[in-house]
Amino acid sequence: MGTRPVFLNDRPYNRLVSGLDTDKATDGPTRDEPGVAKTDSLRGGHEAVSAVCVAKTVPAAEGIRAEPPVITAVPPVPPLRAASPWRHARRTRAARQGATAPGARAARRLLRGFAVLRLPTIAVVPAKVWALWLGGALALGWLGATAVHPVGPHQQAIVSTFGAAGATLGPGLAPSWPWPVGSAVVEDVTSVRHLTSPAGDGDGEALMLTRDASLVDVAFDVRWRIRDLRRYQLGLANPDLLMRQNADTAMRGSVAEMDFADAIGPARNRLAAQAARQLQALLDRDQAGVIIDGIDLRRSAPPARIAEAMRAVVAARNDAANETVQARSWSNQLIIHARGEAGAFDKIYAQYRLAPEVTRRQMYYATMERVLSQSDKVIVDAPGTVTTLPPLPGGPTPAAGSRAGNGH
Amino acid sequence: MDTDAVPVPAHRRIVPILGLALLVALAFLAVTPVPEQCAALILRFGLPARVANTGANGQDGAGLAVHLPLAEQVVLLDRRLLTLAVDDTRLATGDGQPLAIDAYATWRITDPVRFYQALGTPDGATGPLRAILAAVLRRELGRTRLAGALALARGDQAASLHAAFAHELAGYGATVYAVRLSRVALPDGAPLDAAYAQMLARSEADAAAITADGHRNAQLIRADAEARAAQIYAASFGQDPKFHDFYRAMQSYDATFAQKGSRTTIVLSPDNAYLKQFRGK
Repeated sequence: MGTRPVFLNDRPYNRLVSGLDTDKATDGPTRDEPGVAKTDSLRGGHEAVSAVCVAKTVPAAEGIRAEPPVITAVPPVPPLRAASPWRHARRTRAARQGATAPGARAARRLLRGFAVLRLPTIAVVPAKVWALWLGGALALGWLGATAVHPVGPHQQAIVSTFGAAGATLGPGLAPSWPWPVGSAVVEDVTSVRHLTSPAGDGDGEALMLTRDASLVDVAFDVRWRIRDLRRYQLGLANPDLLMRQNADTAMRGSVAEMDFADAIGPARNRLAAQAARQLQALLDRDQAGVIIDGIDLRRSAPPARIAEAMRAVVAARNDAANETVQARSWSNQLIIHARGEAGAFDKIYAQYRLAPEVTRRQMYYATMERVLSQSDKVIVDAPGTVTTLPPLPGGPTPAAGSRAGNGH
Repeated sequence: MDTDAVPVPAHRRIVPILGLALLVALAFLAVTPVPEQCAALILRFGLPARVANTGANGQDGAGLAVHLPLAEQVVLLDRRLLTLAVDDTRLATGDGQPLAIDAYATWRITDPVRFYQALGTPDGATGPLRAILAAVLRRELGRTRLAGALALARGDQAASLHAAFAHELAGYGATVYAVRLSRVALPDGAPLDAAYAQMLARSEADAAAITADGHRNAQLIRADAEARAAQIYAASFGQDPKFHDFYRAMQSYDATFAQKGSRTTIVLSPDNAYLKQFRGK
């Protein structure tokens, strides 16, 4: 056994080392000889990991910077490879094990440390303590949820003990006995609430009788607030029903005070105001603790079934108005025309009075000039000539001849 | 030793525990929370023994009501303002006009004992009270005409309705605060159709009247203007009727004969004034 076979045998390793030196991946040859790669590769993979890769990936996996040992361990190998072809494998394995051992040991130590840290926290807490914590948390939750009641800036609260109501409390934290002894009602008292009539989405037809026994379809919104929470909360068994009934009563009462034409006409704004006043009066009489901000009339119209006829009335009204306007316009034109004619006459008459005969003659000739210049003229100079057409045979003789333009 | 010792402590332990539990149970059975909004009626074996938190004479008995356990039973009656509503009650007024009425009454329980004996709880009393209210409405509105019913809906003369219902409820321990008609309407069918027909006829008549009115107005306006124009003409032309005749004739000739392209042939006699100078005389 000379150096030659050793060298041959050692070729893959040499390549690996040269790969390390040149910092180049040596994939081709190692793939040609998988057996060598398997025995030499620490990771056991035959994917021809270069020495550089091995050196870098192993410590990276364990999270410890262990490159220096690898690099220092590898360089001494080349001189040894000449001594014995077999030893080099053993030595390298040993060298590599020695190189990786510190990292692995550190990792194991770390893992043990974690185990030591973790185990006691899970297992050692006694059930009694747990029960205590749980009980405490539940009690705190119970107290927090039922013994203190946050009251917002828009709210008021009434706290009661065994059902007996205490004072009305403003914004802040309202304390009470915990449930089941105490309780609290927290209500929004400043924001405006809405009530829509007719009930539901307010789209239905609500026919109301007017004073003259006609029907109007009215839909409206009531804006209201709680003025006295005590009265509202403790005084009314069914506030919603009472509100709705009172609102309907007020609106129908107001409609019943109006004639049909007023209720669907411009006077309907009065209707909303009147209904709001009436509703407030009813609620005050019921001591409901409610303030009405206003009523908005969404619809006040004739019922759908006679809408067509009502439109005809409106159309007739428009037509009548149009006719009046036209008559006025015609009249204005007529009068302006009359004034113009009269004014013209006045001006000419003023001239005429200064020199009647001359003016007259002048006007006559001027007119005749205009007339005769546009006409065919026949002048008959024979005396006794009849200037009319000869009478038709058997027809009646015209009574008189026409004489054109006799200036008198 | 264990077998001998166990019964004695167990016995000793169980008796006080049982006794305490019994006491606690009795204590629980001896108190009932009475909410602010309810009056409590305490019945001893069904016999009304006393009342609490009636709200009468400013007394405020809300809170825990103490009573004999088991022997006494607490009935809570709402003492807030209650609303009793009847919907769509069909009735006819004195003049035979059918109406559909929604009405409601606001009332309170003021004598819990009498109320409980007569009608039971407020929820249970709703049915009978509705029937009574409907009957009162029929009776009272049967005396009026449609106008009267509308007046009632407006809130006028509501006192009679209130008095009638309060009279009916006098013996029941309830006080009526108001009776109001929330809806006075014509029932569907013939009455509503009749109202519609009446409204249709009225609107058609309205339309016709409005049209005629428009015509009349227009005519009056035109006549007025013509009169005005005539007045203007008269004031101006009346200064010299003869000259006006001449002036108007000249204008007329201009308008009639002096138009461009007019194909009039005029035959003139030499006597014509226009040709006066033609003869050289």
